[in-house]
Amino acid sequence: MASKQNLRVLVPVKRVLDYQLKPKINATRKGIEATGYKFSINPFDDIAIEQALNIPNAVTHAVSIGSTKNEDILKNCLAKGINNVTLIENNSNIETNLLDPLTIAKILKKFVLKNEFDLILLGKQSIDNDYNNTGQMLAGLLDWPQVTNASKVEFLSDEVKVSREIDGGTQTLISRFPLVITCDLRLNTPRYVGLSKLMKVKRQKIPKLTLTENFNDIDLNPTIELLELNEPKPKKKGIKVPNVDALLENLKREKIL
Amino acid sequence: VSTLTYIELDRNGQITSSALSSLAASRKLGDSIDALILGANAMKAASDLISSGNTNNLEKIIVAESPIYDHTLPEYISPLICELMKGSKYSSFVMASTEIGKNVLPRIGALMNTQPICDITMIHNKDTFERPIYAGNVLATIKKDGGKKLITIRASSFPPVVEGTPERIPIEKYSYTPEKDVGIRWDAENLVTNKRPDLASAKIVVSGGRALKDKKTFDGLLGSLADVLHAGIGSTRAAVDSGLCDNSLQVGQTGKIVAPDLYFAIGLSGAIQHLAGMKNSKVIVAINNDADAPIFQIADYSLEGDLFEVVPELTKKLKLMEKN
Repeated sequence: MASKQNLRVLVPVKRVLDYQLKPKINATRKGIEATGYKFSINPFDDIAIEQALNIPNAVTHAVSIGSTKNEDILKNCLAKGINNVTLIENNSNIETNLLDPLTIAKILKKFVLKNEFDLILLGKQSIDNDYNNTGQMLAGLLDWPQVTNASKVEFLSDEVKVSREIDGGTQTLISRFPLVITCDLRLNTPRYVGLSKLMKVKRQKIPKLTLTENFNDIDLNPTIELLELNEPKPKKKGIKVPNVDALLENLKREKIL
Repeated sequence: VSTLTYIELDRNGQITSSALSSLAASRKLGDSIDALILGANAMKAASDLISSGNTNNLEKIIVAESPIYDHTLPEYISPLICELMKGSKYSSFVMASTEIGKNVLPRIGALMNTQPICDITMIHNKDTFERPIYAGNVLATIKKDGGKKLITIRASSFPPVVEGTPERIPIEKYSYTPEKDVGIRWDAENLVTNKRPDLASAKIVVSGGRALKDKKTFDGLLGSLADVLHAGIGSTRAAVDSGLCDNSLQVGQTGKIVAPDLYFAIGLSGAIQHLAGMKNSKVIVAINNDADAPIFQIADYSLEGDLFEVVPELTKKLKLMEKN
């Protein structure tokens, strides 16, 4: 049984359109414009990285599935103090973002079984596809316990106590190792990483696996077909009201109040 | 073929409004429906469902009456639902995309080797659905051919079924016990109690941002307005982080997603992540002293002014209206 002194922790991270940017649908209507747009680590995954760094004496490992562009976020993880990283390069002809979350979970499961981990920390969801699936699926495939939307993690002698956000409050669960935890915003505030630390890892070689060689037993074909992306219908333009009386008059006239 | 619909209960064993939305969405799939109710109070909830008359298209209610389901741990619920779905007549399973649905359904998907269709806001036909991505900034039309469908629906997009005439619906008992220790146990629950309508289902929501300064002002100004409107209270992430209110009030991509008939956005700028949680409200009223606040771009009624004057005046005039 793992004790908190030597936990082996895996953090899968995703590269997504930066959270401050508004996505623009591209000409194929099956993806968004990427050229010239900033991409970053998924913010919830950054919280998972921070949680991993906060576990004393843990051996930490970050893994990312995608193109070689993902090396940047993995280098960021190294600069922050993550011990090991792996890029699982998607060299198939299917875009990473179109892979089913279940496929991602199967790839991660295989990676987990080839290595040994006591704890997998993930963001609760990616902010592009908004699926909120991968952590729960990985736990299900491994037959491990899961705690989603964690807002507090406390290590007991050979168990872990996690508070998770639920409707109207928090729920606290106690789990054995190994387990999967997905992280919510309130868990912590990720650290910034300074330029000098980034420079130190700049030339570091990122260990790499590829989907077509190392994961060739996993069927990558999506079962969910993306037909089309659309912008939501624009709202009809609202009206300016000069004061409270005018507001109430409008609301009464429209039978809203 | 038939649909199995999960009826979510609240902590008091009452049927939730999102459960009635799940039934509404299930009807759109067009097949007959079996309802599934879990927990120590499942039998009582089943007879409540029957006497409410919300049972149109319902063939039977399956009840697994055991306290092990009361804390909705996916380690217990997912294998049970997987067992029910396996090799059965069910072609679809539907539940609401609540905290419970988001927690449980992906695990079912893993156990059944089936990618779920998550958080849908529209059913085009049996195979084609719409779901918001990028915090609602983009709508994806997706299709899943063949195989069993595991679906979560966004409750605010499917008006709950309305009460009808009670019918005779058979109740069938089901039990399932995991073979081994699931490795995780419930320890405690810390709930925020409040007498106001629940944020997620309130017809009117009054939300405040960081401009409300402190907790006392937030509670005082918004509380009085919410009282006279019988509204639920919401807030922004910034307000929560500044300690103005509890995080259970947070509306947004990372908080609750609401779509009330009337939404008051008070002293909040309208960050993308907040808009994702409320922009489908029927009517949005924004009160802000910053003419450039993005919230004014999606508001139906924009009132530029000092909230410390406007909100008390609004509360006072609404009280007068109520009296007359």
